[in-house]
Amino acid sequence: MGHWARFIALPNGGFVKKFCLLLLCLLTLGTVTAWALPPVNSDNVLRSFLWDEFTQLAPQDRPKVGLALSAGGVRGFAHVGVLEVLHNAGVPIDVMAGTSMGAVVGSMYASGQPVPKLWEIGSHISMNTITPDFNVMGLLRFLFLKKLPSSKNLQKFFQQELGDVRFEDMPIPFATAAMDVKTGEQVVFDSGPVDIAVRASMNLPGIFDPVEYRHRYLVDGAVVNYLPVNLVKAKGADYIIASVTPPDFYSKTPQTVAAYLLRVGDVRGAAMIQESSQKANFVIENRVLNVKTLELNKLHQAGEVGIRSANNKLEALQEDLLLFSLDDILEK
Amino acid sequence: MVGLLCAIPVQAKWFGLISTDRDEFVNARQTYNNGQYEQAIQELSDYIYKTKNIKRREARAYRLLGLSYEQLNQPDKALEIYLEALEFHQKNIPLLLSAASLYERTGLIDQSIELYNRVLQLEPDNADALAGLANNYLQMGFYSQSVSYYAQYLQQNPQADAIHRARLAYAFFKQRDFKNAFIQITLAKEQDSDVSDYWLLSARAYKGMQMTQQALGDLDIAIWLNPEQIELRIIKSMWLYQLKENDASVQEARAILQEQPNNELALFMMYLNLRNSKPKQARQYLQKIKDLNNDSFAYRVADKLLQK
Repeated sequence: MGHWARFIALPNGGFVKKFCLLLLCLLTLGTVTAWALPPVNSDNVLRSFLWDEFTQLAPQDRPKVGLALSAGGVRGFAHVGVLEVLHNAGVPIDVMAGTSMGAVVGSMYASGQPVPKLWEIGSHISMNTITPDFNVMGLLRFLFLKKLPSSKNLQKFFQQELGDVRFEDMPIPFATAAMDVKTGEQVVFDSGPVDIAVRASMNLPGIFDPVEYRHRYLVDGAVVNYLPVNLVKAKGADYIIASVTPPDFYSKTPQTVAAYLLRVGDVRGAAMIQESSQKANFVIENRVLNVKTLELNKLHQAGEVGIRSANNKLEALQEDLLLFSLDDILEK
Repeated sequence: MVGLLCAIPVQAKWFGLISTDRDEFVNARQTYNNGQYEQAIQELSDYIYKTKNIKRREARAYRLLGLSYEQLNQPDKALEIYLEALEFHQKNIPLLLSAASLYERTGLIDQSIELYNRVLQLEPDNADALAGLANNYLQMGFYSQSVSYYAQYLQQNPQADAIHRARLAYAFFKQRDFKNAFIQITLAKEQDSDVSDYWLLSARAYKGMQMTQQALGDLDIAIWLNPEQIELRIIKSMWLYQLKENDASVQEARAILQEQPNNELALFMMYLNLRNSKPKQARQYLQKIKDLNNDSFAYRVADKLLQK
């Protein structure tokens, strides 16, 4: 029996290096019980009662709630999990903004796509959904013409999924940001066609060719506005929830030029998250580990992280929002 | 030739051992069935670890050893045994299920999900794995996923225990699908009508469907089944308040305060019901919640209201 404490090789070929840690967890858990239904306790009862009262208020009788979704590449798919939890709980979302992957997820939700549809999209999105140039021709173009791949497929994908949606038509007012690589300016989109704006917002600099639009050369908005709390504020939100997917600097060291480029963006992004989070009323932090920026086969994994982090924070969020809206609730 | 001659007695001994081994295992299993778990652990350990070739150690013996540790409330030891056995019995479904279930019951959801998924790769319709995944996703709060696994599980096992239907009802309820929540909890109640939690969930589903009188009816049954749970009576006071039946709401809150004078929620309900008619008296109830200084949501609500 003596060799259990070594790293245990599980049949799927992975190594459970945290085995000893897990045993410690188990030891601290004490008795092993089957989970029935969640217990009823005083705080739950009061929260549930006031939440009922709050959700029955007409939008004009309560604070306007906004949601800001950060950039983060594949990590940003955690926002789908967050949206599922907020939607299930009945958290009203009156305005939204998102950058990069936050723009992809946010624009779909804001245009009325249900959360299950977002999960479904996460199941079949691939590099070909974003670019037509991840092939030999694309490589030759890059090597001999020094041309970066185009992200035009993403625009087509949006047209297929949403049709010709304009910002003005979205049921939930939405905004996103990109950066003009020529001037370094932030370009905010909250009117006009959604597809090109979202494409521009997640057009990773150094990975994809800039998007030419209205005499601008647009790259990923994450460079200038990683977490667009200010855009949600500008849309009139009184209470802002921020869903952030901070970079994971520790799981992997960059090995390629592209990975180094993305890492530089992430370092800058981490600083922006810290600054913008302070302007939000409530922050849901999704720690997505061991997932690279463009590892599209791990979208669902990131989404599940969103489910967990939002659930862990849900009661605290509800209590904070209820305390924020208490006067409105009692004036009902 | 010499080698062959030497091998004959070894082989004979080996065949002899097989016969003895079977008896040893049967005896150990009997010891386990008799509830003598410490003795079973001793016998099973002797049986397993005397075999030097680890690949020849039996999965069923490991599993029984793990179960013995579980019976003695030593989940860490049980897990150690299961994981050790899984190193060389990678596709043994009972072992995978035992480990997954233990992870599930101790709240280590990721590990549990990984093992249940491995069972489904080997046996796509395995009912225990489907139910286990459904429950894990329910605990995680991934309700849509939980519903999907419960649907598969219950399709195969329409007569499953009421708790599975109740959990499915809860998953629907958490998605605000009150109609399906009500259907499932009603089925659960038909199987087991003595569980207060089921009646409470049924009441909440009714309330979600705006059928408040029926909701109050089921809530009364939940209170009758579990009169000790004061929170149920608080809920009743709250629902009566929402129906604008203030006198009945106050009456319920007062009755609770007679039993528990410092019950924060009953004090809060007194405040809510009296704040328009007797604002000064109502404020005293809030002050009392604040003075109790519990680190609770009610305290923070009272504190905020008193600042006005």
